Amino acid sequence: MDMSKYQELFLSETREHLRRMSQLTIALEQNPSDREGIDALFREAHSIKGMAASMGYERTTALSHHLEDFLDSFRSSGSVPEAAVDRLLAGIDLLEGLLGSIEAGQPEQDVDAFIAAGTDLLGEEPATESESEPGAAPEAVGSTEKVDPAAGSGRSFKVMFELAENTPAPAARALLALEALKTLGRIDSCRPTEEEMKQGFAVRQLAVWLQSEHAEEVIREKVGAMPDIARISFEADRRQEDRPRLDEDVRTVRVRTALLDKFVNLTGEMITNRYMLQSATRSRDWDDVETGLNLLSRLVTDLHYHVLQVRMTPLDGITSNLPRLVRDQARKCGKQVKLEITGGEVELDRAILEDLADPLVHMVRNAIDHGIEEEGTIRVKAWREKDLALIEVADDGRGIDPSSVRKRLSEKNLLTSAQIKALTERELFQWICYPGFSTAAEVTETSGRGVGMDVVKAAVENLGGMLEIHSKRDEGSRFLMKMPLSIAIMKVLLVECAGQTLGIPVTRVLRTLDIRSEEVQLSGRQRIYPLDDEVIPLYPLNELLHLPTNGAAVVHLVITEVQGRKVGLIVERLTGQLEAFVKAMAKPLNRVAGISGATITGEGKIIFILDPQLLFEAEADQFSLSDVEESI
Amino acid sequence: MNLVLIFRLADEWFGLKVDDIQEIVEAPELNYVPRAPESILGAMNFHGNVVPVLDLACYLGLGNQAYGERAVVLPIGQTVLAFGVTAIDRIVPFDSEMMLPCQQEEQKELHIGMLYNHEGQMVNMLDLPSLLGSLETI
Amino acid sequence: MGVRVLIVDDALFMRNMLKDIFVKAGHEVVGEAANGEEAISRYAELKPDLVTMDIVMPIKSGIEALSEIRSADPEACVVMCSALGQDALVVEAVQAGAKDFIVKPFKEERVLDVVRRVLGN
Repeated sequence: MDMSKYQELFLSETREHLRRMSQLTIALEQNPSDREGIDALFREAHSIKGMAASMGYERTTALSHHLEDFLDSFRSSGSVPEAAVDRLLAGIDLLEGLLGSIEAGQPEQDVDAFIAAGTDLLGEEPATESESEPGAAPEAVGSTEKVDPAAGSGRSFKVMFELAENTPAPAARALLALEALKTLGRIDSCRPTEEEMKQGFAVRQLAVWLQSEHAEEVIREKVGAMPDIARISFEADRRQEDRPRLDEDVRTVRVRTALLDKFVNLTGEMITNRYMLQSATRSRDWDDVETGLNLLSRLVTDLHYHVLQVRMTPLDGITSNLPRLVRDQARKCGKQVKLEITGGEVELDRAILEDLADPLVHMVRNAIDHGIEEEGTIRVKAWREKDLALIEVADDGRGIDPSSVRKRLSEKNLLTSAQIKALTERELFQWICYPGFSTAAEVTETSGRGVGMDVVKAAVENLGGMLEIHSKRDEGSRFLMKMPLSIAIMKVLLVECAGQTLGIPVTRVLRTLDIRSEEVQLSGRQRIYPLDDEVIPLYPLNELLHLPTNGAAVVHLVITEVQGRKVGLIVERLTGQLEAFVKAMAKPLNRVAGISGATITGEGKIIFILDPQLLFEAEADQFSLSDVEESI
Repeated sequence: MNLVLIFRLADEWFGLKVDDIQEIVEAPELNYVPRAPESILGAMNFHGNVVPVLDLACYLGLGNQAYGERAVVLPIGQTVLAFGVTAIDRIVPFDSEMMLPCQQEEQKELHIGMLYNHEGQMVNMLDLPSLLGSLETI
Repeated sequence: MGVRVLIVDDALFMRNMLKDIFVKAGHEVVGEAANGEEAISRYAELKPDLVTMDIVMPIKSGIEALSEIRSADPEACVVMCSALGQDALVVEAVQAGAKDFIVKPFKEERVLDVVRRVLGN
């Protein structure tokens, strides 16, 4: 029987089991004698074993069987010893790794070493390796597996190759390098993929995630000695961060049957509606046509809503691994950290959730590393507000010190002292998202120099959201992400410049207003306008887009926020709003800075959607925001 | 049977295997792409997809061409790319005997893989992987 | 100790050039072939340590010959000889089991380096 069609379902279900296993294990660490918890954990391992065995994944089966036996021993003893928690978590990690290999179409990692180590790690009866040791499930030890000296529990790292310039047949060279690596260890994945290389992808660099017991020198000698390899470098495996994503096309979603029934019903109603419209048209009964069209419009709205529902996924999907992360990270830092998650049921478009997973992890890590001092609580909270989903990561740690941010700004010569003085706190904190900026005094292994706040901000904004940073000295920091619920359908404001229509996500627009041209003031060469109690700089969108400009009596302003500061974009016309089905940009358009996507109108016209922040960054040499400050 | 599409860019003749082509679109409507590089003519709506249309002559440095009436659409993995051509000559059967390796370095820069001798006329066969690879850095 | 080499190329010029390189380096050229078909039969009869195989040849291409040789002898050590611009063919050859490739025009030290490496591994 062809099992491959079940693979995806197997993977997603097993991952759910693993997530629960990790949660249950961490709960057991707090409460080691929770009988129900032990039973539940046992059942999870048992389910994985059953599925893996049906799929014929021998090593996954062996390992889950081993964990099941391991857990069974606690069912009789009634409690989980502390050392067992680490081992269970390690086992869960290893299972995750096996799933990764299965997904990538590669052979499963070796698990014998882990299973064999069960005896030593428990430390109870180290010498005997007897059958009574729960860790050594005899039939589970893969006796049929040939021992591959290169495979298995070696270190895991990323090897980067750079090919020399003008390398002939670079794809073939990269394939040969990959072949050579295969003799030295296990390849988890590589970029470009082997498939891409086989298609003759013009490779300049090859990144390989490798597990190998060989020293770097050996690899360097064996593979680096190949002709045309200009450079070879090694990095620790940080795959969580940068493993290539699977193609969108192979992803599937599970749909509640109730929702499918809803689609069937809607289809039925639409068919009836079509007959009604056909007959009304034939008999030229315009009242009936109008009724029919009204009904159609309601049905389409309904359909639209339900189609979006299919894409909605609860936040749980990306918060469920946080307890484990917090536990490990807090332990590493020697801190006592409590984690509270609320609002896990809030639903967002899966595309948004997927892209928020890494930023969320990052903010939580930052909170542990830099926010909390000795002991504290991290609160991850999500809630809905109208069309927005708000997700907040808050800690009760030391907070961001405004004076150290100011000091850093002047040290790095990012702003003049007058500019720094003029910054409000809200604006000031936005600067910690400036690439390369950091206030963290120490560098830690995982979050480094507070790296990544720039990445976090970019991810949030790419999805059409906004990031707010609030912080009070000695009370803690709050990072608030305001996200649209759905990215596939986005409300955009349509504006016109030099006859071209452009879209700006409504989530990025603070307000719009019309003023008379004489109300625009000049400060030096910079246009400014006093809005409420603030003076904001104005920029013609035409100039940002390199389009011709012409003066008009009425100035239409779109007020947006760039780097925490209000900015007015002058447009020629505001032409309305559109519920846009946003398409991601394909190559090479994804290289054009300042556009975040495009949509196709009912008339078949393509409208590009601008990201004001990225637009300003791309035009930084022409439109520097720091200059503005000076001139105001 | 293998076929070759022969088309003109500026003053040069170029060729592509018909198997490598998704479709040839007559007079596509080009939409404005904000801040696009000079070598992008615009974007076209190709069966509901946003497809960039490249000015191949300009991209290859053969000078700005008068944009022709047609765009050749190429599939690249999941996405597509089209390029405008000055004129389309014809489609001819492919004869592997008539393929010649190209000698000059500058032909590599133009992403020309091989030369094709079509009844005495030399046609530059585009090296698609090389061309598409170079677009990564456009 | 020298390596026993079979040189496959339809151009006599190329064969002679490679031969000179190998002989000078102390290797033994045990045979030559001018097309893929000939290469297959000569391989079976000579069992050389190494084959240099041109890609584009009449009667049977280098890649076809490579595949047949490898299926008869999975240990066969074949290095492809390609011209510039044959990237796709080289990729195909690597997939078919070529141990490495050299690109015309050949440089002596490059050829010998490849021989050393593919036989050393």
